[in-house]
Amino acid sequence: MNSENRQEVIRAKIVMVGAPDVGKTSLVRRFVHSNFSNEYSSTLGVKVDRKLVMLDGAAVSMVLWDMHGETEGLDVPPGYLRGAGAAIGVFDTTRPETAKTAASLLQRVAEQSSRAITTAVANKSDLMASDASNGDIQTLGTVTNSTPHETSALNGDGVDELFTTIAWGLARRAGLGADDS
Amino acid sequence: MSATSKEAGIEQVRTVLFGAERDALVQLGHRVDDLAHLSTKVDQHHAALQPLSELQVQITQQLEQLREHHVQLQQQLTDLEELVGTLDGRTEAVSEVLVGAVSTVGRDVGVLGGVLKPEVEHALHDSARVDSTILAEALYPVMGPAIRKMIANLFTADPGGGELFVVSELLLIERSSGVLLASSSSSLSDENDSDIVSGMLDAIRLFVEEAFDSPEHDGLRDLRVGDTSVLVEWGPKAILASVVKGVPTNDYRHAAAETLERLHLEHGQALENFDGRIQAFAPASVSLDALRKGATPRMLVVRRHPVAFAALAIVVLILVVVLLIVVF
Repeated sequence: MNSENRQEVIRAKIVMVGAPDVGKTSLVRRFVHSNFSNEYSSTLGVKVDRKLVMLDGAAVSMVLWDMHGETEGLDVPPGYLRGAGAAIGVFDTTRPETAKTAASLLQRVAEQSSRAITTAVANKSDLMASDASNGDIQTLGTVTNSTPHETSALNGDGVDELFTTIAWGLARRAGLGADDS
Repeated sequence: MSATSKEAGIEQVRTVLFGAERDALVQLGHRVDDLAHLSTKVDQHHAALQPLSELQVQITQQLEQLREHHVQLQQQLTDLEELVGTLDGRTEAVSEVLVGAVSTVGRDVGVLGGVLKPEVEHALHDSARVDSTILAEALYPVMGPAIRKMIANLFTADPGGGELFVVSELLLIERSSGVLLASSSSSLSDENDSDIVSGMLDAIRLFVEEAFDSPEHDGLRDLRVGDTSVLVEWGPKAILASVVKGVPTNDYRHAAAETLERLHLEHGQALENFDGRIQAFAPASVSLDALRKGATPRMLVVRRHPVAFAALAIVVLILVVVLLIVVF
């Protein structure tokens, strides 16, 4: 990577989608502020946060769109998903059926933003590991073409790794960075 | 024995001993003479045949050349058959000469235009009917300044009056994602804030679209809280949001629109292929700084002149007709 690339800044819209109460806002709060809170803010149905992830050779500015309230779940307006650089489909490991909603929403993201990097997240791993044999979870894995990323917004396990992996994906898509090392 | 009879005797002996050889020698002498004669004749024939031999060499060489020429012609014929026989070949052949042909025809001014006019008109009409945004985006950087210039010529600004305003922040936002591309601020604001502001502005825009079921191109233009307002200028690929304290003038709105058009022109490729990299938009901050610092506190006042209004009505009528053509 040359010195010019070292200065490269990437900005991307990241949409957090999933069924209600799967932990989307908690994941964002854990990542952005590094502290856990159960508070929700009432806005336009979306809360926008920003986090800068420094990689070797690029800085990735993630503008995180966290859907909740009336725009949560399958009611999310299509426009909110437009222009997304990446999408995180979250489900609750204690409620495997929520993986079905995440899969459906990630498919909608792909329709609105064909270039979006889609990632499945199995949240609340501190309570229960995700069941790989569950049909809904397997469907979600098929949509993202990968196994779900295990996280716990409560203790922070896997949260930084999740967003760093996505940041690398965005950097690689923009032609920066050859590996995750 | 006399000498004569001796010699005769010797001769008889010779004849007895060598008569046959003598005869053979005589015959051999004749044959040598014959061969010498024959050789002379051969030389004569050879000398006569010499020009024929040279002619044969020349004919052989010419035959060889003809053979090579034949092979070349055969190859050219194969190439031509291939060129004419396939669509790709014909396309390539025509494309090679098209520019030259058009420039040659172009010497007769108007002839080519006259021939192509119906096809071009039909293509434009068809393009507008199938997807009007393609033409609208192509014309956007040209139409805006032209129309404003025309209108500006009809009206004059009042040197007096106007209200004070300050542009505190300018945000250039990618239209599809709401991502901040460049900004200019009067304070040392945190870039983090600008990112979130541009994202929230996009969220508000989408909320308005959803809530009022309004089409995207009729989206949010103004937000006002107290004496602070956000003016939103729309381009095909980017949005320019101005955070203004006080009452902005029409002059400022025009300047903002012009800046956005110029940025589309200067960064068209980067906007078209936006993949998250914002380095390419660094020069845009200079234009935004110039717009923010150059904002004048003068309000544009219209002189109500009947001719000006008539001309404006014509311009509006033309725009309506153009829009109708583009839409239908």
